[in-house]
Formats: sequence, C-alpha cells, structure tokens
Amino acid sequence: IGCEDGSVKIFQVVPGGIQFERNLDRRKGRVLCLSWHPSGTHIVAGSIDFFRVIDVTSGQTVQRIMVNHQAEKAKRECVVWAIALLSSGTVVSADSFGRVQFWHWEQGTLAESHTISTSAALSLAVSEKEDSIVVGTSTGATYQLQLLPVRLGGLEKRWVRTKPFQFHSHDVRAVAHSPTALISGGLDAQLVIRPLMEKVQKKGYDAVLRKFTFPHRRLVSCARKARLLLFQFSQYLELWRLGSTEETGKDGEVLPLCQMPEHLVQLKSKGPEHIYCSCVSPCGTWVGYSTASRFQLYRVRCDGDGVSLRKVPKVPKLLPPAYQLQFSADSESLFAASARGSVHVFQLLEPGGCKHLHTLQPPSGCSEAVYLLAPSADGHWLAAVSGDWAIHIYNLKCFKHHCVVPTYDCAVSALAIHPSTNNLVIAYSDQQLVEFSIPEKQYTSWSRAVQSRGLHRTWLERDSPITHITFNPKNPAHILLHDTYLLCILDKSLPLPDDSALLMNQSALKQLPETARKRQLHAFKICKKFQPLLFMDLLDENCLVVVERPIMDFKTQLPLPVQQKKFGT
Amino acid sequence: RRHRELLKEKRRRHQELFAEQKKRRLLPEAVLQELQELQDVSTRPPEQAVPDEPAKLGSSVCCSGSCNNATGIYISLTRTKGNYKAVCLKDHSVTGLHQQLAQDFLNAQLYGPHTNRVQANEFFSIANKKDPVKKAAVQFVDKSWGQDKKEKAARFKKRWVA
Repeated sequence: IGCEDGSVKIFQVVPGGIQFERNLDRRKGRVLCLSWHPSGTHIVAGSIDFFRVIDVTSGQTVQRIMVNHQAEKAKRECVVWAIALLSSGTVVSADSFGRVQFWHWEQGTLAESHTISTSAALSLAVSEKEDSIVVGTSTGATYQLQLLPVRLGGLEKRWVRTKPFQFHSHDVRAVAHSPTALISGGLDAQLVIRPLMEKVQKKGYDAVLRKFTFPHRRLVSCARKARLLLFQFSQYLELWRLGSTEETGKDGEVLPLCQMPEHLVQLKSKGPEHIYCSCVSPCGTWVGYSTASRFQLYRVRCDGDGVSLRKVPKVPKLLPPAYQLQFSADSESLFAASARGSVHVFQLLEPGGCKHLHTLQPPSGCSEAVYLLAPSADGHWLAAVSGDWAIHIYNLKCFKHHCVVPTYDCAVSALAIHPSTNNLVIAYSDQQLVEFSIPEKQYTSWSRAVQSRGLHRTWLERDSPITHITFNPKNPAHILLHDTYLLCILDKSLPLPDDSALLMNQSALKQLPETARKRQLHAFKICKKFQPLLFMDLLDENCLVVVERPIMDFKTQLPLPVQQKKFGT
Repeated sequence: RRHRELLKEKRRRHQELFAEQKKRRLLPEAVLQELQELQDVSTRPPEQAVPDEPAKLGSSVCCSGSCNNATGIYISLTRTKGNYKAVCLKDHSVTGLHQQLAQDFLNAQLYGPHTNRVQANEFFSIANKKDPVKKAAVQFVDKSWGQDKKEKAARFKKRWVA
C-alpha cells in the first residue's frame, strides 16, 4: 500500500483481513500508484513528477526517475496516475500530460514515449503475455498499445499505439486486460468489454462488444400486500408507497391517480460502507439491510399520516454479514445468506425482536457463499444458490436438506418457487430457463420440452440477465420475468416459438384478426416499452409495478466530462 | 516652581488618560454585573467553557483580569468583526485532515482549471445536436431566474394568504 506521506507499506493477507508486515523506504511525495514486478523482487511507486523503484528484500529505493523534464510546459506538475513493471524490467508509466512512457529503470533512461491524448492518461493494464497494454484516459477514450516487430519477421520489437476506442463519455478510471478482451470502467457508470478480434476463435456472440450500466442484482424489493417499494441506494434506502387509481381505460392510456405515490422514509446507513443487500417483508412492516460489516433490522409502523421506523435491538451478530436477505411469505421468518453455503433462519417476534432459529448447510460442505435465496409461498421450502453455482433445496419444516438441482455450468441470475405447484423456476446467465419440481426432485415435463426444443435465438442473444422471476396467483401457467430491456410473461399453456417465428410479436398480433392471432400465438409475451428496467412485480390481478431508471437521470449528475472539440460546434 | 507645577499637571493628565483607557478596556457595567451573576449560578469548571481554540479569541477584546481573575475565563462579548471560525477540534482529527487534503489534490488535478472540463448541459446539448436524430439542447433549471418575480409572489402570499 502506498501512502500520502510517501511511504510504502507491506501487508500480509491473512484469513480475515490484512496484517501489517513492514515499512519500505519513505520518500517525500504522495504515492499515487504501485506495481509489483511479476517475480516479487521489486516494486515501482509512481508519484508527482517522478517514480521510484524499490528493492523489496532490502526495502531501499534503488532508482528514482524524474518524469517531467521533457514536458514543454513545465509549469504544471506531472502526475503519474498509473504504472506497471514488466518482467523484462521495463517500467510503463501513464501521466497527466496524456503520455505513456517506457523506461529502462536500471539505466535510468527513457526508451519510448507516446503521447496518446491531450488530457490525462488515468489507468493502464498489461496483458499476461506482456505484449499488449490498454490505457484509459480522461476523455473517455481507451487505447491499445502492442509490442510489434519493426520489420516483418524481424527480432526488434517496438510498442505501437494500435487501436483507439471511444466507448465512454466520462473519465476511464479503471481498465483490465484479459487474455481475449479489453475491459474498461468509466465514470459514466458503464462497464465495457471489448473482445479482441484476433484472439476470439469463433465469430459468434463471444465477439460482440458488451456494455453494462446496471448491476445484475435486484435493487428493488416489493411488499405486495402493503403496496410498498424499497429502493436500495449505495448509502441509504428509500421506502415508497405506491399510488392508486380508481379508473379503467384502454390499452396504452395513462390513467389519472386518485392517490399519489408517497415517499415514506429515507433510511441512511451509518458509516462509509455500501449497502450490499436489502429487503422488505411482504406485509410491509419489516425492513432489513446488510453492509459488509453490519446487519440491521427495522420495524416499520404506519399509523395514520405518520411513519415510524424503530430499530430492532439485539440482532444476532452474523459473521460475516448477509449476502442476501429474504423474508418468508408470511413475514414470520427472515433468511440470511451467509458464507460457506450456509443460510441463517431467524424468527421475527412481535413487537420488534429477532431470534436465531437454525443454520442450514449443504451436506457436503461448500467453500463459497450463498448469493441468491428463494422461499416458497407455503413456507415449506427454501432454495439457495451458492457461488459454486450449486442450487440446494431445504425443507423448512424439519430444517433438513431436501435435494440439489443437477449442476449446470453457468451462474444462476434469478430463481423463484411457484406458489401452487412448488416448481422452482431458474434463469441462468446464459439465458437458459429451467423448471425443477421440488416435491418430485426432477425437471418438469415442460422444462424438458423447452430444453429439447431449444429457446428462440433472439432470446438467447439478449445481453442482460433475468434479475427477477414472479408468478400470477390467478393463472398458474404464467411466469413473469424481466431483464434490463424487456419484461416477459411466459405462458406455459401456449406452444413454444421456433427460430423462424418472430419472438417479439405482440405488436404484430394486435393488428391481426382473432383467428389469425390464434395461429401465431406463442408462449413468450414480451413488452419492451419500459427501459431500462430495474424491477417488475405483480401487485394484484390488475396491477403490475415496473421500476424504470432513465439513464439521463443520473448522467446529468455525474462529475464533469472533458470537452470534446468537434468540427462545426 | 512653575516647572514642578507643569510636571504635576502632566502627570495628572497622564494618569487621567490611563484611567480613561483602563475604563475603556473594562466591559460596560451592566455586562459585568450579569457575568458576576452567571458565575455564581454555574459551577462549571472554567476550562470546559471554551472547547474552541482559545487562540482565535485572543484577537477580540477580553475581560480585564481584575474582575475574572479567579476563574480565568476569556469571554469576548464586544467582538470585532474578525475572520475566524470557532470549531470543535474533535471533528477535525488528523486523519480527516489527511483525507481532505488527498481529496482536494485529486479534485484539483482532475477537475482543476487546466483540465478542459465542460458543464453537463453543454456536453449533453452538443451530443443531442450531433445525434443522427437531432434533439433539443439540454438546459438545466437555474434557481436564480426570475428572482424579483418570486420575491413579489412571496410578499403577496405573506400579505394576503397567511
């Protein structure tokens, strides 16, 4: 760790945290970036106007190189924002003048200098083979530099700036280099994965540019009976009561509200940590959230106009705190997902108490933590997904392990248990859908039909995962699911579409007469009207609540971007 | 004799002057009375009365030692318009200061005057205009618009509605 006072400290990574080992040589000037030599013998520390190389065993600075003496406008100081030490002994530095420079630190000379941008170069990452570097800049552009031979087939190699990309509108503060792709994260809240064409074997979906703006986790919880929504932000939670309307209307109309949505409570989390997970009980009177070090439970009371929030005292301390929280359907129990595949079951007591009942664990042990939970509506079963992608099902009546779903080599993005049939519906991150019957401990016939038929090509090519699955109590054949760009009602009683049919055929169906419609109807009813979607749930038989987060809403509040001079503006 | 008288005159005038100045330095009578009463009532130890940095208060007028010698409290009631701020030292611990300095450095380097940053509405307006489908420029609502109209409305409301 490099510090503000110029010292570099070495810590040991021990189970449970880090432990201080020793201090290396301290020099004046705050340390802004560090890099280990692949062999672990040296560390290079970048600072303001210079960087230095430290020998790890002796702790002494063996070389100090000034970075600024070649800049014309030496009035400004040159900040070394990112640095890397290659196994050949070359130091790569990215500085605030937009330069990427290659140094031979032992001789103290500059080997190559590339000015890739007029604004600062903020981050860099080196590939494992050390023949390719990706650099992120302040303007949102990323560049790739490659080590290429000067003459075809020759031995002498030089670094060349090969590919420029402009995927971000704001600063690119973090980049990574995987064997086949360049990954960049920008202040515009986007994560971009750019596969490198020469490294990708098959020209299929793997070769596509991927952009992610929203997390692949559920950030909104819904209390159906109480018509409340809980929004999870990074430092606080917001509880809203939904509005209602007495009117009815036709397809596409916006109905006037007789009762406006109400912002009930804003619950701020103490301390600097982010809120990792949160949940509201179906009755709407319990709210729980967990950060990396703390787990808190609150009792909510709405009497008349006022809303009161009371913290539940003496909540059992969980080590480590919950990775996922879920209330049972009858709001009497709370399930907390924990490390090593275990799930804690708590009993909620009136008027505001919590007692640890049981800890469920997989029979063969598990090294990963549980990250998804799904309780059944009758309170009989609980499904838990752990980091090794195994789905365990527990019987809550006798607190025993019931069965495990056959393993599939892909992560689970959402799962839910049907209220009447107790079928577990699972959505995988490769867009596969599976239905597993818990009482029979096997896949359902519908699920087998889907697998043998295969899902529609357009469905499989979607690039955001399903984050929530829910059901219609009035129609057991319906499964409602959504991802970031669409919501879908899956009707199991209708035939599955084949690849030749149009998947998003709702608007086409509307224009057909009744008889023709019946022929073209298929199971997937998709609506793309609301984007980007954060959440969707069924409140009662007439109401569907959908939470959209328009991108411009938060883009205008981001830190300032760099001006891009464009011709004609 | 005249010489001695002149000297006496001088000394008398000087003494008067000193007495005058001393009087000016003392707080007005009424305030002193009140202070005396306050001291009798409260039994607080004097050190806790000023958790703020006492050095900052030195610039203003202090009680003369003659009335508050026993307690040693520095109270400035006739405060001149100094440019100081009373803060609680506990909030400004050393770690907080380091963090603030580091944050300031980062902000200055990344968003300082030389960094060519552009405001959000200008950035998005240009983006809207350069789009294949041209859209309107982005203009954020500024609270300082129509100040006199807002003031008039507030006065009207206060007079006729409240």
